[in-house]
Amino acid sequence: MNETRILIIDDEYSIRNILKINLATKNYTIDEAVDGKTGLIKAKDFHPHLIILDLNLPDTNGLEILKELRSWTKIPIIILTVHDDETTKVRLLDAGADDYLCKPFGINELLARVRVGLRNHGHIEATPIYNSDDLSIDLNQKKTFVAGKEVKLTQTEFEVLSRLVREQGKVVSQTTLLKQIWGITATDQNHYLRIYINQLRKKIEKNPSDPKHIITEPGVGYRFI
Amino acid sequence: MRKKSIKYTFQILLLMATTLLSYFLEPLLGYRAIGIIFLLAIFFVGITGSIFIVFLSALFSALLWNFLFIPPKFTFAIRSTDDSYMYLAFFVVAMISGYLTKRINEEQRLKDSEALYKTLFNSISHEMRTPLTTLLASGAALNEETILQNPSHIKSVATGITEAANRLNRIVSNLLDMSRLDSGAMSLNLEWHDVDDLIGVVRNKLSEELVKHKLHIQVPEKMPLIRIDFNLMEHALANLITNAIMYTPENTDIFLKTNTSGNYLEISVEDQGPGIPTADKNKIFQKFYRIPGTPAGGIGLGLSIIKNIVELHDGFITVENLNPKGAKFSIFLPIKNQPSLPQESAE
Repeated sequence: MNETRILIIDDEYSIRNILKINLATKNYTIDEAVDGKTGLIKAKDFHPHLIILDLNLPDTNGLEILKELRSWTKIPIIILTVHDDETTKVRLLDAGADDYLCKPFGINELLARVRVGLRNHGHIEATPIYNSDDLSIDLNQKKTFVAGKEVKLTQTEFEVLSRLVREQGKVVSQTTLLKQIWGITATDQNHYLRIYINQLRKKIEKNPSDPKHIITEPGVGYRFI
Repeated sequence: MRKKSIKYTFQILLLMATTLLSYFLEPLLGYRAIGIIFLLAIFFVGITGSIFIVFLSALFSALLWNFLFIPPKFTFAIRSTDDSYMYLAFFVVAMISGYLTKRINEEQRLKDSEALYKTLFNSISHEMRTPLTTLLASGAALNEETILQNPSHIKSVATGITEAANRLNRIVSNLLDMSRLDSGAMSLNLEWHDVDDLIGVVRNKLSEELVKHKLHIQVPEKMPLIRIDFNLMEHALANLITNAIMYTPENTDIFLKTNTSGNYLEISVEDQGPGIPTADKNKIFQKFYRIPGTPAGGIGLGLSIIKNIVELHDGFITVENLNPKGAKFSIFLPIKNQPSLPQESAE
């Protein structure tokens, strides 16, 4: 009974098919729905651990399906969309999507998002210490190590880093970060983040112009890997 | 929106200048000849403005001429019957000539855009059919038993599919960008950004394309923030680097440097390719222009998109050839007053 079930809601056969083939190689059990209505029914009957939802469905807008799903379940939902503008992405996250992928996307990207979605949903135990390659962050002790050596971060730098680390792999929106760290009046002060992310990268990344840990999601936010 | 108000300003200035000129010429020519000068001004309005503006200009010229020049001066009354007829004729001629100039002008524009679309369709159909052929042939190949039995064949077909799809993706993105920029429906989403961040995102996006070139990045320690639409500037910079990858030999270096010069932040891309022929230096920024003899893979939109985006940000782009070889493209973006930061308490 250890199977992980994924539901794909997309009207395009070719997309469903290639997703199915690729996800099956990772031993996920897949079910599929061709429109929103069927998707909602299967979300109840199939008991998926994660849903991949296309925004452009023949019967309803995927956004409506997302909202409907969110009214009764917290399972991770990854949205597929052809719109690569920031407003759409932010709206999706606000509506409760865990993540999004813009077509055309790479299959490795999708598999990574699926892994993160499943992990963040309690498939892996939470710990106060996060490790990623040469980087180690202890949220309890408020200490950061690069290649075993402690790196001094300012209070705010650590605040920014820890909020990203807690959501490892997931995109955290700029507005959320600004609100949590500087308060509700600072939500439009995006330049605070630019400065602190820049400083953080200089301290924890090997090459700040080619970051491997703090990834920018243009116009949306940041993602810690 | 901004363009429109600039146009109105131009027409108002033109009428004012005409009036001023007429004021000085009237003693020499007499008030009747002044009408001809106003007609001339309306021709110019017809070249640039809409039919509505032409009508307004004709109306205002008529009123101005009447008020300031036709006796009795500084009234809208006209003394002689001759002048009344002339005045009426002026108004009719002004309307008709303004309208005609406008139409000739529009026809020319239509012809130009038709020529543009022809180039567009030719180049698109050619550039898109090549990768499409690869995709179709790959699909057929993967249905062949003999190919399926040979893993190295399958791998090479897979690589071909990826390359063809990437090429189509590039063309589609550029076409989308171009049509968005052209429609004027683009509203800039200006925010403060870190140029290091911009470079990181672009580099990450191009990691697949960059396997055959080495990208050296040089960013000084302290750089000012720039106020940009991140998405657009990302497309501009990605296009610039993609050009350097596509049009230079494999295993050569590409340098991406940033610097401040005066009130501008400069982002430059230097390559070790053949450089840009002097005769083409100005043409390469035109839509659909490709330097004769360049390898397939583009439709000549990249540089015009970059220029468009950079100019939307009140910046400019330059190109020069390097010694002994290579080209250097530089994007200059204005550095605005830096935003203030919250005070952080010492640790």
